[in-house]
Amino acid sequence: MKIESKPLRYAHAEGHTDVCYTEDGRNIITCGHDGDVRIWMDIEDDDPNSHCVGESALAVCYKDKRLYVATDNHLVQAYTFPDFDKDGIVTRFTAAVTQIKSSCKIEALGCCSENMEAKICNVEGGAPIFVMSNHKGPVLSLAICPHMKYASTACGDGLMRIWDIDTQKVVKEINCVPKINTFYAAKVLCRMDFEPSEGKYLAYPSNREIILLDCQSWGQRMSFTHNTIKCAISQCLFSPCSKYLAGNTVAGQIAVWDIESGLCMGIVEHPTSHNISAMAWNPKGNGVLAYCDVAGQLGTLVNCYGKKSSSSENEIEDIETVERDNGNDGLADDLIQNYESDDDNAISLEKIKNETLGLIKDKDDSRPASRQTAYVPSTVPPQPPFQPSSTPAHLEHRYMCWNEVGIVRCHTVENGESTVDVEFHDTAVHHGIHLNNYLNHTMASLSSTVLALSCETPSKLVCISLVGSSKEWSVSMPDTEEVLCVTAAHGLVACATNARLLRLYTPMGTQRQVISLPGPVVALGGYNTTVLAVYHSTDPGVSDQHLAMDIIAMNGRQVRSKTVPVPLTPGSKLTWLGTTDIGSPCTYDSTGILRMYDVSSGVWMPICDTNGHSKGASDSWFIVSISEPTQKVRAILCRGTTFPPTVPKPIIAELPIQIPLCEIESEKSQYEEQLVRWAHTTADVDMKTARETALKLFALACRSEIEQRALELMELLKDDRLLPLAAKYASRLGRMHLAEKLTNLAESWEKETDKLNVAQNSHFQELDTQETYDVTNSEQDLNASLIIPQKAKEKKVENVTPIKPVTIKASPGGVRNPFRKQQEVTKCVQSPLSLTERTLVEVHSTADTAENTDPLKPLTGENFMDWFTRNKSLLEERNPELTPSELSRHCVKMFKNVQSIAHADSNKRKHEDANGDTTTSAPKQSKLSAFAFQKKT
Amino acid sequence: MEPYEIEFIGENRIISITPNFTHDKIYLICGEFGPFRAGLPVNVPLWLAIMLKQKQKCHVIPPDWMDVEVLENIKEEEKRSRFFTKMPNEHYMVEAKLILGSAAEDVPNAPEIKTIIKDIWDIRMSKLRTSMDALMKTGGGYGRLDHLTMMEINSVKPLLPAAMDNLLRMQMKTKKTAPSLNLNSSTFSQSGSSQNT
Repeated sequence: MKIESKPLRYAHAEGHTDVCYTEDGRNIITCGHDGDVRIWMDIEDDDPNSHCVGESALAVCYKDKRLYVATDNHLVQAYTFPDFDKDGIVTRFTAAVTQIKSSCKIEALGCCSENMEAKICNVEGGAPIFVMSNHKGPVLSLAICPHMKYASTACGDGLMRIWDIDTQKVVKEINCVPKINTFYAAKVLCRMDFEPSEGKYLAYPSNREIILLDCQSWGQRMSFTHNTIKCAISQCLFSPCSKYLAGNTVAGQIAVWDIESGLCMGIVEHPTSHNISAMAWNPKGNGVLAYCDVAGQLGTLVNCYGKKSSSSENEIEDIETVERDNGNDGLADDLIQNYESDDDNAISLEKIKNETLGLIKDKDDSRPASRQTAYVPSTVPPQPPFQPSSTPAHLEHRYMCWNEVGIVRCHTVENGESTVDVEFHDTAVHHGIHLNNYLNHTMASLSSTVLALSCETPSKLVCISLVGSSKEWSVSMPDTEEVLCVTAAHGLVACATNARLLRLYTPMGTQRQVISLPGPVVALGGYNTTVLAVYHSTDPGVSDQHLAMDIIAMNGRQVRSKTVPVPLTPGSKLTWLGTTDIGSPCTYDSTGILRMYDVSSGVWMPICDTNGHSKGASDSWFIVSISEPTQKVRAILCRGTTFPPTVPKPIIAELPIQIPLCEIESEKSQYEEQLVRWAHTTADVDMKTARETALKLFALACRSEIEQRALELMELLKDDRLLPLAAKYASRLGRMHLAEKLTNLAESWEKETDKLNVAQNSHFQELDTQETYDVTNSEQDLNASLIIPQKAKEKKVENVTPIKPVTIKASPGGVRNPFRKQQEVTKCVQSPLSLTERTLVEVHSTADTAENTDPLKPLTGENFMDWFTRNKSLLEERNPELTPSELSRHCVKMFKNVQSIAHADSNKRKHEDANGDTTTSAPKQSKLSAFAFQKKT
Repeated sequence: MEPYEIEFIGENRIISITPNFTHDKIYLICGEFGPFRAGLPVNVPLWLAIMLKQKQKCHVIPPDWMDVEVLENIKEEEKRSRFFTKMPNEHYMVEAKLILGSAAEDVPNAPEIKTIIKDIWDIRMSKLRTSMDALMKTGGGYGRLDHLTMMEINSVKPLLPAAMDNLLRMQMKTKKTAPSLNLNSSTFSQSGSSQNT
């Protein structure tokens, strides 16, 4: 028979809560941190009798129509039951009493206290029968055997002691208690229990198992555990019939074992995984177990064991009612719903959680959580959608967005009115904006061109353009569609809706595209005209979610998409999504690992473990932006929370990007880390530094007598300027063999380059040629390959940013000039793993372009005519399809383009214009020059 | 030295600001500062910070010690101790005055901080006055006070040397008339007990 867990209900304020049954099993008695003792007729009693006994009450025990309560003035107070009148003081301590325990067969009361003492007292008071001192820490719990022969205590000093009551001596000490210096901090209470009928066994929890001791020899008889028990067991308790044993773990699991067979009858998870502070079996022996958790909630488990043991008519009925409820879910739900609305306190915690986390409310949610976990015990819930770098929506003052452009704050006053204010880091971008939030926007995204705001119901997207005079535009979502995520990029606004649609708009409000997402969206990010959409690709598994990311790039009218899976640390959630300042997608998960997706190589790399930078265990980092040129992650340290407060204004810290290589403290690893990092990110390092690092690494390999590694390193880096230096170093060290090999290497490279006739180097030759091939293909048929041109595009996007001055080239004229584009692309798409791609080639390209790579580049001060005559043959060759006049017109344009290389930022736009109206806008000048050209020839 | 001169010296202290503009490094006599990147903290001299703040070009990040709790502790310590305690900053008064004067909105609990700093100042000034008084009364010619800030020393400058001067002159006169008086016997030291006398 399956153990059923009844819904938890509020019993006391948060804190240690104790529970016991009356001897007839009719009433449950609880006491808690709020200082009340409550007498419940049943778990479903909505109006328990409450009696205030003080500021707090730690323990309660029922015996012979009297209640014994441990109150905050450190005494054990007796009360009559059911009248609840004071009936004398049993004993006093100098510190808080942690447990009161007795059993039906003995006429004494065991009490233990924080003051390192435990006493066995007469129930009528007077001098204690036996004082157990000699403890070296707070006594957490005690147990007395039913024959009053032995007692055992568990103490915070780490020892469980078994005392002989007659001789008043310690019989045995067992080291099984986690050391703790106060009861209030103790998670494992180490509650032991003697077998109640005969007292033959003592059960005690020891780490993840419960051990049964024989009370004659004190030898270990049995141990109980279960493979789902992953943390320490805190308490154990024999059932009144001595046949079963209940135990609970600090994570709120309750398990019941059959002692004879040693089998686990069942294990029940606490719905919110709170530690259980007390358990009590119903003395009627009907298999009902009452328990309280540290959140002050009371719950019961029914059907813990069969009904065969003594049971009256009444109880059978009880249990049957429960079963009926289970059989008919609808009815049960109705009942529970009514019950919920009757008592707001009961499930309010759960409710608030649902609301704040934005969990989608469907029918299942109205069920009590305990049942839900019973059905799907081991899958993680899929994470709800979120806005990157925002703080929880229920806060009065919150950040809707904090990124590299600015800060969007939302302030809500008590009457529900809210305002949004936008502060730009750089006031040159835009002045601050302050607006009334009439529509109750909850999502915001900010880019340098547009502020996007969105609200849930009725769902509307409102955008404020920041370019020129502020223009506001808005669109309403159709019907019941609701916006879940929104993102604004430099050239794009996107929102994802609950209809699993990704809607794309231009910054000024033209609807661009609607894309169906393959799963429920988690977050959106954007850069320039590229959107990143992270969604659940399938349902979450046992411990992990399955997230995937679509990189959707818009280029003119073309849309290209690439899907990549999103890696997560086990058991973590995605907490941030964004791009670096040059457009590489990045994710950050709840365990503090920041990852970057290298578009060109298609791999995810961990680039920063923020845990190494936080000071306390509960500190976390709130990512703001990532800068590749300076190799820094900008983040805010949140002490003890996961999000920063609005007041005082937090300060942004800069964390270094660091690839987590092994043995990072060693010199070798540090150089390696630098090389890897510079190769995969667009770092702002000059060639000299990179070569220096490489040479140091080479030197290290030489000095540690690993010539092969040194050689291998040079092969890997493939830098022809580094090679002579390395050879020189090797020969100076007297390693002639190595030096010789290096020289050979240089020669073989030269041959290779001759063969390939390409200007750039790469050690992934295969990949390189492959890609070149692909690109050529795509030039012929633009739709043939989706991924590779997309990569190229991504790279081009990089090229336009002003931060990377060396690689900036005129963006190719697209379709108009296929050859040039190909040249561009081959340069961009090659594998960046080698050091050469971003660094060496850049140097080459600036130095040698005039002669080699780009003969079209005008010399300084050269005018169009000179340039044209110089390059005429080449141009004709490249554009064989054009007539002379067309050619000259085209060349004027091209000349302008190459001239404007320096103004890279505006360049792109110009190109787009040029592409858009090639036929219409033949300027006068071009006609003139055409004329001049004819004259000259 | 005038107070504004001390202020001038104090303005060279380095503090952090978050600029709201982007600019390359700037080269000043006292060193190079920047580059300024909008929204990211940068260290600049106090005078530059105040100037930028007045032009509304930055937010000032209050120094660590400019916090109610820290200052309360300093104040308590100062109250408890018979001697001067070490201040968090040689120019705490100048810094506090400038930052709270022009960038009060960047400092959380600015009014409280202002009050506490004024309290600390008052406690220290009254200590200084009582020790000066003691020095005068014992007729000592030498005193030692640790952890006094420049501004505090300066506040007694117009008075103390002149008074000492006059005292000496008077003593010289009495010495002429009664040469047996021993002058050098009493000295004043902060670490001594003369403060209580």
